[in-house]
Amino acid sequence: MKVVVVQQDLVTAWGRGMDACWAGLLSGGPAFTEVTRFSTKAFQAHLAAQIPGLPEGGDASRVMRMLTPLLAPLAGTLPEGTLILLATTTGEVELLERELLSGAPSGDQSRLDVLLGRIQSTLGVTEPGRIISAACASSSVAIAHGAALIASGKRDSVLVVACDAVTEFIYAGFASLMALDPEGARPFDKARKGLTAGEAAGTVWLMSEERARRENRPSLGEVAGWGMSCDANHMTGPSRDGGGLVRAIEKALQRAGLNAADIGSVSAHGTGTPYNDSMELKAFQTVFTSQVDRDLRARSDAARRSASTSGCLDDCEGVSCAQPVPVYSVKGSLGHTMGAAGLVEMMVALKSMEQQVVPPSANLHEVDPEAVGWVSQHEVKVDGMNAVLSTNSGFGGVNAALVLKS
Amino acid sequence: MSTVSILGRGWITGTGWGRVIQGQQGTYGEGAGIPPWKDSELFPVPVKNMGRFDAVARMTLCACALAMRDAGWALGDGVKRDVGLIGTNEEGCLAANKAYFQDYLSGGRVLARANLFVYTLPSSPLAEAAIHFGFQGPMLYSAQPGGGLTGLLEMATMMIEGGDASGMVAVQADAREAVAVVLGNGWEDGCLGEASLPEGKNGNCELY
Repeated sequence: MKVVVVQQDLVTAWGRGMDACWAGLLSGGPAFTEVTRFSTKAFQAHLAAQIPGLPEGGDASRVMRMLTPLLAPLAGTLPEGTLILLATTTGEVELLERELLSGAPSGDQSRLDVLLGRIQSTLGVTEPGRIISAACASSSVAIAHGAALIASGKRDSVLVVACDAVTEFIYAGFASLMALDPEGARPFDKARKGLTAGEAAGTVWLMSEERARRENRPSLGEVAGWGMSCDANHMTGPSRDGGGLVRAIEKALQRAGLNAADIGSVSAHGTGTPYNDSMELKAFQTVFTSQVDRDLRARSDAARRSASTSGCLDDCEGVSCAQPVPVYSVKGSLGHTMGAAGLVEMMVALKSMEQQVVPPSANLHEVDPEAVGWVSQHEVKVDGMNAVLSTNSGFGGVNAALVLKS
Repeated sequence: MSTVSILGRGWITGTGWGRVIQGQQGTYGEGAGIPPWKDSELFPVPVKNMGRFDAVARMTLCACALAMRDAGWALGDGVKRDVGLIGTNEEGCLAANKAYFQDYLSGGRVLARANLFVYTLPSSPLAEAAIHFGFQGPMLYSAQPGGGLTGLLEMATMMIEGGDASGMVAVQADAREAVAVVLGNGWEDGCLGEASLPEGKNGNCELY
């Protein structure tokens, strides 16, 4: 059973909605601003991708202030049986900050199940929802789970809600790992030094194609394949060879019934840390080499001879025959939105297919030699882009890949 | 009707431990620590940096090891496995969050401790277990209010059936107690036949 996206919305540092986000991405610049909500004096960086214009004050957490305008239009409209999946890493941890700073116990208000309850209450949904947390791949894993539920016929309507905010809690943590780039994240740049914390919230409503058609709902794209893996290697660093990500991608392609050659572009996790970006490039080189090689070898002898004249087929043992596809990262623009990253990037990938344009990797000045031919600081027009790949990785070696079709 | 089978179940509390299918259990004195940590049969290869783990991560490791041992799986053999790990509990990583941020505040809001920060994700204890046991399948934390382990077993079953992994370990762990269930198909050893998941009650481990 096909899984389609029937509704989506988001808020990022570029403001509310995909149009604002897309325009910001195409500008090629970062949406980074100085952090003023807490002191960053002790840290190596002072920038973050922060959502402007959120109402200040009151008891509500920043996450709920991000989410409420997205959830309000959906309130009372979700059909019975719609499962709510909440994807986040730290949720309303800001409430814990307040509690520990003030010394006034708040009754564990920062628990994720409390946040899920608030979301369900705002939506007017009473059926129990589910929390999914898989580090910075949380929302892509949630989308994968929602898609699996629909594809297996267990559900026909799933709303994925993703959110994470820039807080002192996470900022200090990333600073302790020396993971923040003082100049702002520069994914795939030769001089990249780390990430920039970002915040975002979004909703993606998944439905079986059958139900969507029956209810005359628009199809904004198809979640055609998904794959998940764990490096089983290190708590905070990725596997150097990208093997874990390769497994996730190959699973996603297999489930979608596609080959690597069918993929028009890749939305990479691209945090801007030296190790992550290098790992991803190795993974992409593996996937887009080995698969192309297999595809070529499966062709007729005539086609093989033809390919051989281009100097590729006979040399496809190493990475030299990788067939670069446009790879981009939004994190030089939107920052690392942690648990929301996968959902935001999936929406951008769908927009990219709709526009037949691959957005630039923002804040990219000098392309890392490993990324030459793959990554660009300019937007790229790609005709016939009907399937794209979106990947995320995170602490603990978790990897997730989504294959999306128009 | 699913053909996914329960291959092993293990549990641990502050006073004892058990391997359900093998019918083995043990007790130990309150405050004496958790003997399985030192059990060379359970951890033939010492768990790297286990002393630095937070309490939930330690309990997760122990419960997984007991369940895997119950299933007759080799442990600590350095082999990477096409096995996924899915975990749940009631309060996520709230205790770790408090410990980390309180420590940061105590230090004057200048420098956080990275080794406390890494446990401020609900999936971190699972990651420690995945690294030690070489689990290369999906790894995620999932919780449904009131759902407990049963909901988790349904997800794990779905993942095996969907081809996400050949086997799954589902674990419910907090700082005081943990229970883990090994699920899979395709293994001869330790297989108990159909477990009727998710419709049946076999997945609902009423162990203590």
